[in-house]
Amino acid sequence: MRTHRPRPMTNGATFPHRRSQRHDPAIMPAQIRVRVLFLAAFCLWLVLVSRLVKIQVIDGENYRRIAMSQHQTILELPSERGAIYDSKLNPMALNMPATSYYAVPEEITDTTGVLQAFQRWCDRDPQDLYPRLAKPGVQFVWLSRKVSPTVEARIDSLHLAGVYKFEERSRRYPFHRLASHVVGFTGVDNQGLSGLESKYNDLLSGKAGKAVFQRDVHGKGFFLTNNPFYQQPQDGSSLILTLDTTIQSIVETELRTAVERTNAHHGMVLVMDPRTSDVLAMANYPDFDPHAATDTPLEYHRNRCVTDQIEPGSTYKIVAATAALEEGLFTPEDSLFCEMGYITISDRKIRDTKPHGWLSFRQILEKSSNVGVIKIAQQLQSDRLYEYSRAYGFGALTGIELPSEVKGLVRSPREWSMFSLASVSIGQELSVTPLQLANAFCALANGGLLMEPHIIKEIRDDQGNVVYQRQPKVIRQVASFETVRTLSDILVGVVERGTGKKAHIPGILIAGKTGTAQKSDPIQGGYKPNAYVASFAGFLPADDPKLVVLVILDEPKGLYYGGDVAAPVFKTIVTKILHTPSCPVPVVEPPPMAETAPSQVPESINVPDLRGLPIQQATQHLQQLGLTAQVTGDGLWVTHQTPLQKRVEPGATVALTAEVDRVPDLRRMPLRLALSRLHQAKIPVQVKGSGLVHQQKQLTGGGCLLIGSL
Amino acid sequence: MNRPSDGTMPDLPLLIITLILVGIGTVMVYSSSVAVAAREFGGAEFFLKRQIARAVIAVIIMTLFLMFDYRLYQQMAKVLFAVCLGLLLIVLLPQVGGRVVAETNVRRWLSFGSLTFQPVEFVKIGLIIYLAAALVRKREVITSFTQGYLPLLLVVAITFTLIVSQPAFGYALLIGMISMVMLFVGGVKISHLVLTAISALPFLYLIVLRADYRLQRVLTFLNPESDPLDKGYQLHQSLIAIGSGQIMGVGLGQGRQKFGFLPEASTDFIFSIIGEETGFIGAVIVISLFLAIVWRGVQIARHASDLFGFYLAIGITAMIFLSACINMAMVTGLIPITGLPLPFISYGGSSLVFTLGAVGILLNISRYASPERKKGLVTKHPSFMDKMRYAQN
Repeated sequence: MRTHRPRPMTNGATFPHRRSQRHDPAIMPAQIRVRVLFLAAFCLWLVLVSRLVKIQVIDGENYRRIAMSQHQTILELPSERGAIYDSKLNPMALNMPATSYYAVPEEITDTTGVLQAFQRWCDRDPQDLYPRLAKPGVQFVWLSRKVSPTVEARIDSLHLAGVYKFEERSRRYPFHRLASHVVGFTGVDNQGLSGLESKYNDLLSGKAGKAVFQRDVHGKGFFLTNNPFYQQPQDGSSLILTLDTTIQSIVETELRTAVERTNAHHGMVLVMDPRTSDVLAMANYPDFDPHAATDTPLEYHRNRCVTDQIEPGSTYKIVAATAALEEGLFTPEDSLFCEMGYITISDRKIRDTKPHGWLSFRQILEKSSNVGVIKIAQQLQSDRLYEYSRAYGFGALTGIELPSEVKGLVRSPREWSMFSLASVSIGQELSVTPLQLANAFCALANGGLLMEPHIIKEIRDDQGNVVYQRQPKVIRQVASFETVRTLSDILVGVVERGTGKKAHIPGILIAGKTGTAQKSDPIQGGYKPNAYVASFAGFLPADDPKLVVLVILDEPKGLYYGGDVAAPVFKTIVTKILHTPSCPVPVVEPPPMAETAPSQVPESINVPDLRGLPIQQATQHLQQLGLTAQVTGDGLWVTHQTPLQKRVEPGATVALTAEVDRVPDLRRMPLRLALSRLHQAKIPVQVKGSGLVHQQKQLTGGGCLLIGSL
Repeated sequence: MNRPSDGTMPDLPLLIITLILVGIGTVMVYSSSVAVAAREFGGAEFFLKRQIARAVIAVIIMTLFLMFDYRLYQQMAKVLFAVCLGLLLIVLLPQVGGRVVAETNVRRWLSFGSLTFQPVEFVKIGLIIYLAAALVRKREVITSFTQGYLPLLLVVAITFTLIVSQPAFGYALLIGMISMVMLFVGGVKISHLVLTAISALPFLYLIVLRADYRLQRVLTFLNPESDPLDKGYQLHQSLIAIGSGQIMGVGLGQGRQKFGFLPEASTDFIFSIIGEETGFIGAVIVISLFLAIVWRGVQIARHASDLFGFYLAIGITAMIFLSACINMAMVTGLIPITGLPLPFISYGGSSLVFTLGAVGILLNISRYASPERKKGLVTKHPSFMDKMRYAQN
């Protein structure tokens, strides 16, 4: 405790109530009041500092985040969506520039003009548009997205104030409806909505880049030197499919014709390469235009080849047949009595289409006898039939790179009724997807090896580097090579003599199986009367299969047997595929006069197309046919021919021109034939399209470009 | 009473603190106004130049007041206060309506170059001087309610009412609080003060209810998240600014909130920009500088040469510190928004001139302090308590 020497107070305040303090201890002296005030000031200081601790130290991070979000404008730099190609790198989906229009409402001087223009050219409802434009404070209103160049020109010519253009990318499908179920389509913001576009959306769309701008409250961007943030957009990867647009277009054309002709509800066709289980064509009809997908019912968007399950019917008999042969229960020549038309299993009759007596194993399949197959299955018993069903991949996802695949339903024998063994053996009481069925035939065609089906062959990143390549993968050996060989041989008989006769193509060995399944009625139970699924599955050439084709028509009206309805479709499709230059099946070129047998002497002779043949060979041909050749020119090959593609009387003269160093004029000749002729003449050739040669162009360097058209 | 010898130094710490605060103000006005200045006034330095000009004028005025013997105010107190009331009445003349009347009307009366002048700034000082003189006059009867307290309370209430009618509720409250502090130090019974405060509450409540914008501010304050884009926008943005400064600040000049996000960034909300750019550290330094002013103000008061100087020093100190506290509490969301600037720092002419003028008076009081007090700056000096103890003996 310090003491101070008292000193006289020379000046300074004369403090009040100094005296009163003595009288009244309740009154605080001034100096204490000043201290109280100073203490109060310190308390205020403390309050403010603690408040700052709360805002800046405790909640600071949070506020900084809010600040960042309001100070920055993130400009998205769109990435280019990857393309989708077929196996020959024909683009099936790509991007094109497209113009969109938007309005800045407050800059519009002529609202009526804007409303009228966009109603007239872009079909924009003014009832809908006007409120958007009239809403106060709105800075941006879409007027029309991705307009056509014609409309763009019209609108530009109006010079509307407050209307602005915005360059966007629009997804285009050069083949339009072709393989639309596989490729899918995108929405207005180029987001994949179905098919591969949807399933591989992330991969295709890539990663949008961004530029971060510091902004002021008015949204005016300005870069600041310390942290300009910029991220390059990463363009999307491209998909290369196993599809072949040539085959696909043949398939779709034929499928459409068939569905329309038979009045079927819908139809599906799958073309696969059995050696790899690559899908070469996958078609559904009705189809849709991916540019205007929303105009078609949702049902049409479904890729039924993988999303729908059907009861396969007789095509499924290959399972029981494979099992029976593999297990050594039957040889193709073993005979069974087919009960003259029907078999009764637990009080239910299963009928054949016509009564059969004794049939060999081979004949049972050729005639597709239900009774026979059931009897075979009875020898097999449930477990083995089920085992082989599963071995063929039924009841399991194939794992193909398509969205919404279903696995079908193959119940295990534990859930079977007395009747099930019979049903399953003839392809009832179970459901499969068309892809599973086609893939099972692939296994059959591929020496018993079940492969993993693929529709994506390659994925390339934005730089063109291959980042994925499908490797053919064996799932399992379903049956031995010998068994499969035997069964193939039997299935050749189906086409040669049996139910699949209408699929027969002279000159090529085709194995196949028909199917006619009664459609089950999901509401009533049981089967619908007069509702059938007609199918035909086949592969060729049977001795070295390169193609598997499955045709399914759902509820054809009139004729409904697979052999009557689906087999002819199979035949046309295969015939056309064989004529494409990209055909994987090396067809032995039939002699030019194949259509007219030389032994017969017809009343009129079909003049063969000799263009491109060596002149000597051509004259020999004509002589064999009993025609006279009149040659002009010194060239080595026939460049022109008159008459062409006509029937003439025997002994008529055919004028052949052989110009020197000229590529023969091959217009209207089947592309495939033209290709082989030019190949023979050693003329380099490039080919586009398929079908008949439509256009022919000389290329520099002596080559030739053939453009085909169906 | 003896006059100070010529060249007696004013309180140096207070002078330094004041100049530091003015310096901080100039820098922060520049930093917080660049965006608006560049966009709307055609030059980033627009506000800086004006603020420097005002600072120079304000320092000159401070120097003038520093030299002017404060004891003369004691005689002038009644006249000054009459002038104050006159100014307030003139402001209320109905020829020009609206809330900006104060500025437009008074500019004809008083203007310092390009500076605008709010009479309420003048009234603050005038009332402080009047109360100081009155407390000296009534020192013997101050404990009496009718003779001592009530007359003073009436003077305060009249001033308060006139200012509220401007309307400038924030200023009115500030003046009320300054008066309370002075009356408290002047020896008014605490029970009287408490009674006054309690009976004033219903009136304050009515005043708040009467004006929509005031009620809105209070409601917004009570529920700040209700409308962050409109009514609560200012406070919301202020908190974002302060909060995003965190401990170290985003760096002087690096703040973003001044780019239009925070309205009034260089005037009423300049403390938010200080918080944003210099962080917790800078903000606490600024608050502490104001507390340091209280420390010096109280020292000056305790060693004032007479009772009038004591009261005057307390009043001026309270004025500066309370203004600062109200402003900082407002921008940190502790109290509802009122339009009070931050002394020394906010951009604005009359605030700076009058604050520095007031500091000038404070410095002048310090020049008349007893010699012991002067010695005390370098060595130990007798405290207020010593004097009291001596006086009692």
